[in-house]
Amino acid sequence: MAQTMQERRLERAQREFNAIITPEILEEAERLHKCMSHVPPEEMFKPFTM
Amino acid sequence: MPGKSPQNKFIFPFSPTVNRLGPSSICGYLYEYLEAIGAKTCIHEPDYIDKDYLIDYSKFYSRSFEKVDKTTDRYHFFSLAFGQIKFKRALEKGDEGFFKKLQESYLGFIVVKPVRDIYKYRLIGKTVLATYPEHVGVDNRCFLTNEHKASLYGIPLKLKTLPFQQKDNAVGVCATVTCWSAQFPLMHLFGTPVLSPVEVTERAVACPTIDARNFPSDDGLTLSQLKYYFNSLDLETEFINPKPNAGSPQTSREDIIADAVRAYIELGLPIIATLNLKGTNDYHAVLITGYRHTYGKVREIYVHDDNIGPYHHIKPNRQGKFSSWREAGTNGCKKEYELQRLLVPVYPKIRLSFGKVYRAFLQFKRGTEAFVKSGTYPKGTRTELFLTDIHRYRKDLLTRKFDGKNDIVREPAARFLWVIRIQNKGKPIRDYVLDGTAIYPNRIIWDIEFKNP
Repeated sequence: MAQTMQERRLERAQREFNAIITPEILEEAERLHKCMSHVPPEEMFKPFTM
Repeated sequence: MPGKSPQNKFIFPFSPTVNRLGPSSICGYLYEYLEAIGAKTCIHEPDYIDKDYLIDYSKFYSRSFEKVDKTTDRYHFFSLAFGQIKFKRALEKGDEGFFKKLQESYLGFIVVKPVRDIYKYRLIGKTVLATYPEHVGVDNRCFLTNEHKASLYGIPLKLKTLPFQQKDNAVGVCATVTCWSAQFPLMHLFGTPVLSPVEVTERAVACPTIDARNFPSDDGLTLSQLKYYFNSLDLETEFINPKPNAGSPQTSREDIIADAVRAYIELGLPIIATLNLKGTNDYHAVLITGYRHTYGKVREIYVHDDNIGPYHHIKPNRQGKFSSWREAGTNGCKKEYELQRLLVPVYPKIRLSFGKVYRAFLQFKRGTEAFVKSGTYPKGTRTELFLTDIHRYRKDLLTRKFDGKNDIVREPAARFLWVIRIQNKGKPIRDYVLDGTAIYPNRIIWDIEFKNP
C-alpha cells in the first residue's frame, strides 16, 4: 500500500532524529533520569517546618 | 460578629492600608507589592465568609475554648482613585459604566483571618493579587495563572493570578500552603479538587512518616507526605534533582532549575521547590509561580513563599544559577538556602520524564551552539525545552508559517508533547515535537521548520 504524505514526512523526521538521538544518547538519557529522579530515603522523611 | 451594621467608612485611599492589614513583615511585603502594582484605593468588606478559613474553623478552631470569630475581613484593591460617595452613588444607580471601570482597575483582594500568630499578629488568608506586568522592555514575565472571580456587593470582579496564603501553625505550615496554592492550576488543568489547608494536611498525614502530632501541625509535612497527597489526587509526582552531576557530566554547566521552570510553567504546572537553610537542619517548601526572561534566558524566578509573600523575586547566584537563594534575614544578616529538589505534580499520562527528555534536549542544544559558532544560525539562537498539550500547541501553530501546515494541524497527535525549540529573539526556527506519553525520548511526532518573515 502506498505511504501517505504524513507517513513519509514522519519517517523522514524520525530518520533525521535518530541520527542525532542515537542509542548511546538514549542510554545516557536513562542514566540521567535515574540520577535526577532518585530521592535518598532520608530526604523523604525530613519535615518542612519553616 | 453576625448582624453587625455596615460600617460608615469602608473606602479609603491606599496609603493607610498598611495600618489596617497589621504590622507583621508579611503585611509590610504585601503593602510594598500593592504599591508596586499601582494600588490607589482600598475597599474594606467586613464579616466576609472565606470558604477556606470556614473549613479550617469548623475542623479546628470551633473546638477551642477560646472564642474565635468565624468570619474574616476582606480588603479589595483598585488602581483607580475614587471615594466613598461616588461608590455609594454607583451602587444606588446600578452604574454599569463605573462597575466596568472597577473591573478594569481591579488588583485583587486580601483576606485577613481573625486568628493570630505567636506574635499576636492576625494571619493573612486567601490572597488573590494581580501579577507584575508581563512586559518590561525586551524582557517578558511568564506566570502560572488562572481566572479567579470575586463578587463585591454584587459587582462581578475577576483576575488572572494564583492565590497565596500565609502558613497557620494550627492547620498547616509551609508545605501545606504550598500544596494549597498548587491546587488551583491543577484543578484548571486536570479537574482535581481544591481543599482547605486543614484538609490538605489531613490528607497528607494519612501517610504517617514522622513521630509528631498531625494537629496543631507546626511539625510540618515531609516529602513523602507531599508525594502521598498528590498521589491521592490521582496525580503522579516528578522529582528533579538540580545537581545530578555525579551521574551525568553533560549537565555540569547547565542551569537545570531554570530549564525545568521554563519547561513546566509553559503548560501551567506548579513546581514545588524544597530548600535547606544552609548550616542548619531546617527545611522549607515554596511554590515557583513564574519567571522573567530575555529571549529565553531566565533572569528571575518568582515564588509564593508563605514566610515572605506572593511573587517574591529570586535572583541567580554568583555562578548565574538558581541552585542557592539569598534572602534578607532579621537583623540585616543574609540567609542562604540551597535548593534541594523540585517536585512537579503531573497527570499520569505525562510519562516521558524531564530527566529523559533533558538529555535529548542537551544534544540539540550542543548542535545549535555549534551551528551558531559556524555561522549557520544567527548569533543569539537558543534551544529551549517545554511541555505542552496538543490544544495549546496547535493554537500556537495556527499563528505561524511552515510547509505542510494544513496537513500537520489536522494530523492526530498525543495529548501531551515535549517540544525542543530552536529560536532566535523569540522567533522559532525549528521545533522537534516528541510524544509526551511515550516512555523513551525516541518518538518524534513532528519536525517543523518555520518560515520567518
